[in-house]
This record gives sequence, C-alpha cells and structure tokens, in this order.
Amino acid sequence: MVSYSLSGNIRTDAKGTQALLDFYLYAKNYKNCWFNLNIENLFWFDANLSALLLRYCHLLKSENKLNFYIDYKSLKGHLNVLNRNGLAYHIVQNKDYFKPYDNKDTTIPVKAFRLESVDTFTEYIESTLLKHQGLDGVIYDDKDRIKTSYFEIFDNVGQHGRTTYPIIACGQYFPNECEVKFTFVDSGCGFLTNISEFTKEKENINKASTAISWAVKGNSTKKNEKGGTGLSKILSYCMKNGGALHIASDDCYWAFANKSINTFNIKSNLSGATIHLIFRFLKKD
Amino acid sequence: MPGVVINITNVIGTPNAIIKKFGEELYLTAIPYIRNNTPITLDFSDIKNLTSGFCNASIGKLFLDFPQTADQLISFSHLDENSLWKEKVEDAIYLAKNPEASKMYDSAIASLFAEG
Repeated sequence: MVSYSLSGNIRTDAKGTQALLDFYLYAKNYKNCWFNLNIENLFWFDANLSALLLRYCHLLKSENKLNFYIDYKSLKGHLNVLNRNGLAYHIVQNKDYFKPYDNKDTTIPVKAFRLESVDTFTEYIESTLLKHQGLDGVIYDDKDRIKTSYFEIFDNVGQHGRTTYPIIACGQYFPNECEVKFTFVDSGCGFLTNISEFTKEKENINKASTAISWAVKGNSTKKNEKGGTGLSKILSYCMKNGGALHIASDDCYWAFANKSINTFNIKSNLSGATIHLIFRFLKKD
Repeated sequence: MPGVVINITNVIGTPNAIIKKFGEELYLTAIPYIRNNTPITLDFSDIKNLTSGFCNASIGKLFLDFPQTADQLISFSHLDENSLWKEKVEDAIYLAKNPEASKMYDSAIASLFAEG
C-alpha cells in the first residue's frame, strides 16, 4: 500500500495549505491502488482544513481511483476531531470504524454541495454555521451579511467557476482561542483566469495576488452589478470585528489580518480557490 | 395598482432567492406582462433569503430593459417586512438607473488598499 505522512502542525496559513497541496501532488502520481494517509506524526490539524483535504481526496478518488485508508487508532486526542466532523468517514474505504458524531459541539461538519443544491447550502450556512454556539457573539445584522456573502460566493462559483465539481465547506470552533474558522473550497478555475480575461484591455491583471485583491475590493467580472463576489462584505466584517480573511488561488495565498494584507507564494498548478474566514471574539468571563 | 401578482417563491420553486439563475427565471416570467404594459406586483411573501445577485438579474434587469415604463408597471408586496431586502431591491433599481454606481467601493476597503 502506498503511504504518505501528514506531520507536524497543519494550520490555516500558507504553510498548512502547501502541506496539503504537497500531499495531493504526491498522491496524484498513483492510480487504482490503496493509499494510506498516515497521521501518526501529525501533532495539530486545524479541523476546518478538512474541507481542503476532502477536496483533494475527492479528486484523487474520482480521477485516480485511489482507495484511502486511515488507521482508526491514530485519530486520538485532538485528532479525534477528524472523526467527529465527518472527514474520516467521507475519505476512507474502511468506514466501519468512523462515525461522525460530535459530542463536544465544536465542529461545523465537513459537507459537499452540488452547485444546484441551493436549499441544502442555504440551510448549512443558516443553521449549521451561523447558529453554532461559537458564533453566539455575532450580531444579527452581521450574520445576515455573512450569510448573504456566502450565498453570493456560491452563486459566483456556479456562474464563473467552469466546473461541475462540488463546493466543500467545513468549520471549527476553538473555544480556548476564542475563534471560529470556516473554510469554503471550490474546484473552479480560480481567480486569475476570469479576472485576467476581463481586465486585459484595462488593468491587464496577470498575477494571482493582484486578481484576488481586485475581487476583494468589490470588483466584478459581471456587467452592471455592484458588490462583486461577496468577498468585500466579508472583508468589511473582518475589518470591523478584528477577524481574518485568507484566500488561496492559483499560486497565491492572500491574507488579511490585523489591518494589513500579506501575500505568500504557494507551489501549485491546481485550479480552484479556498476561502478561510476567521471570526475572533473576546474571552468570555 | 397591484396588477398581476407574481409570487416569487412559486416562480423559482424555493424560498431561497439567492442565485442569478433564479433571477433570470423571474425576469422571463415578468417580461410578457411588461411588454404588454400590464402592471405586475412582485410578491415577496414566503421568501426566506434574498441576494443582490438575484435582484440585479430580475428586478434590476427589468428596470434596465424597460426604463420608460418599469416605475409605473412594477410594484412590490411583502417587501417592507425586511429592511435589508428592501435595500437590495432599491439598490438593484438604483444601479439599473445609474450604471456608473457599480464602480463605487466601500470607503474603508478603498483606504486599506490605498495604504497597501
């Protein structure tokens, strides 16, 4: 059986994104075989990244016909969250050991949505995400804006993503850090393709970091429509409330946090985009 | 002037008016009446969620394509119940009448990028 080790700490940042990409780029060299995802040396995994890992495993299962195996005994301690949020169940062939049941109520379960599953996606955002105990501190108006933003992002993938692959989402409440991290992944064409095409007569955008900034500012490749993709409203929320917004697309990891934007290069030739929203709260007494 | 009542939920088959494709369905349902100068009332009862994308593709496009008659022929019901929806509908109509408004950015975001 082919094996790959995810190890160390995999967090919601450029390094964590690269670590998961490296797994995908390694695994796609194999076809029609069993594949052991070894997590014995994995100390920490931000559970919201389950959306990204599931996307890669889904691609590898459908395109490379890989069958994944995870040793149930390795999902202990903190890593048990990957059982509780449904990731292990969705990935492995040996499903008998994995039951996605969250008795700690900290997970926002990993879920895939076809682009026509409007009602299912709506319900997930409204109920599973926005009614989670971790977001009790978010006021109604902000929840409404966040909800609408994700609906617009979902619609945008359907309109412009040039893909039929599902959208995948997952979240995690980290009570000790007073954070909720929510990850949304699509297998579309990413930001650069459409934006460079749209801007070739004017701004002529040809870098992923510039394309992401262009989109987040509120621009749109749709004619006569204000508001862009919904990302500018999410950014506004983060600016107002001390949250963070990270976007990975093409070869760029773009991150807004602490009132500034940083970009990092990631080694990728895989299309699609990942959006991470990090809610931060004051510690409750 | 209520005119023909078009229940949005019935047209799109869901209370979640959140994608452009649904907006286009509403638009296609409405245009035969508008072309015939028949007043219509777009009924928002039973709607649970509404996005700007939907409004732009339906209401906005009606006002864009029929600038002379849309104000007289199109009215709304059960919209006052939600101030955010009313804002989205009014934005869509405003944008149809003022296309240059699509270029306006949130000022805080514009400042962030100006500093960067």
